[in-house]
Amino acid sequence: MTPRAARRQVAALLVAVAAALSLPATASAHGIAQRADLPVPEWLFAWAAAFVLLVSFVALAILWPRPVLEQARERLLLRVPGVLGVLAGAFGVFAFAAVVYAGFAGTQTATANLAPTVIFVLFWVGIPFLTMFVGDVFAAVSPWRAVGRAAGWLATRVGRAQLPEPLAYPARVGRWPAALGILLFAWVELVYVNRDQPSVLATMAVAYAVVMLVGQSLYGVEAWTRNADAFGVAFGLFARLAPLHWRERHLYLRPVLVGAPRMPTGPGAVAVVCVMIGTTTFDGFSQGAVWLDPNGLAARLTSVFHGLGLGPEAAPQGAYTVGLVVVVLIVAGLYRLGIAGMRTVGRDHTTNDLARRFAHSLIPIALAYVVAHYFSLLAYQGQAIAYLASDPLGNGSNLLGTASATIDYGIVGGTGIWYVQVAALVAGHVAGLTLAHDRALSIWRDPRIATRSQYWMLLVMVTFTCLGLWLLSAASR
Amino acid sequence: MTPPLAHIGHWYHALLYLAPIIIIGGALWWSGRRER
Repeated sequence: MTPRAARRQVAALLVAVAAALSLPATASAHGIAQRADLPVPEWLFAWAAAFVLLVSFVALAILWPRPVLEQARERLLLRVPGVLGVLAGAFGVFAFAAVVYAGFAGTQTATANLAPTVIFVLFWVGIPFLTMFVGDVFAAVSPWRAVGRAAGWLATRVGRAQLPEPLAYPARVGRWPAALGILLFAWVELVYVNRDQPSVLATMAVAYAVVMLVGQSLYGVEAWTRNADAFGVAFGLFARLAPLHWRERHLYLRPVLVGAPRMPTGPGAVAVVCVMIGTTTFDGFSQGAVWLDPNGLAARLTSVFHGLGLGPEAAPQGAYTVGLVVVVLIVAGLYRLGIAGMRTVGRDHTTNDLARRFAHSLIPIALAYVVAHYFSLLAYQGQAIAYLASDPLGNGSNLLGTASATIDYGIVGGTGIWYVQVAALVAGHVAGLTLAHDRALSIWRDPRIATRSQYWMLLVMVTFTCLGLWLLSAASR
Repeated sequence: MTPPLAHIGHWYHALLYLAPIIIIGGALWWSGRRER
């Protein structure tokens, strides 16, 4: 890349971010509301976060001259009894069956039925929170993986049948099915009008499980889970940041982050992390004034779809679908710009190659966005499991004696949530910078060149941090 | 339709989130130029 082209790309990056941040649709009745007891304005947190990233970048350049994470070793903690895996799988199948049954047989009032809270709160948000501390929980409790493994075991041990070898998973397809699956789940969560209807969710859960079982039977349980199970892939990426690693009936201890550099870098690897970040970004963006104002982007896009002949239900879904896809593409574009900038230090690597090799540096950012955007949801709505477990169908039963439990909104206040969000975003982006710096050192060897290659990534990280804080700030108004 | 500038009091704070990106971007560009 020539210096001129590099300058053009910086300009494009700044223009894109400026456009996103300064759209005039924010000129609504929304004032500059602050959380009452914050010591400084919210925007100052973005400045402080950017400063922390800058200091971290300088510290990495000075104190981290050799790649460390790539060679870090794991330490065996203990052997895990095989029965634990069986029990975890059985629990996953039981939980899945309970959610599906509640969805079909229970009340269709979303807040009184077990299914929506388990799927959108405990599963989609709770598992990432748990995973970052204890490793890949979902691999153990995944109901379709458990059924697939049990079926294989039964066929060979009990039926004494010789199962045919599974087909080779197509390497060209890679993790693209997982990226598509995450995008579809996000579409259901953020766009689909019937997303809260328990019977619809139960139908979708069964359909997803069937697709997973068919895929596993064709390509083998592990190959399919590693590449095409959207949730297995997404939660598996978060698990790479955790200090605990469960592998083949052994539990290993390792420094945090060291699992990330070993992320497979085949086709679809970049798409998965960009979709994860982009969909969460759109979730925040779609709650802000730029999107929601009477004259905002949602209203304008909806009127376009009305003009194309779509009805009152389909037109807003069309608008939200466009918004979701565009935000994912913007996130992918920002990452691509950061990668393209790396080539200013030498043209010995293609942009595609670098994009794949640095994709793991986005994992902590994806996790940070999940924590920042959904912490309050988990803290508040997560408590609903106390009464939903006792009354999963919403028919007045009290199985565990906790049906009268309520949600305590005093458990954490608005200011506490804001501090968690800021801390998550800063920590996630510092971790992303660290992973990228370590990978740059292993690629370019010379610490000076490696550091210079990361100027652009620093700018991308600062952009993601400020964008994330702006989205959270705007969504809270 | 009111020009966006008339509402600057409502959206200028969004630009405050952009400022760190511009400052760090400018500093990195200048630093990279000097190193070359």
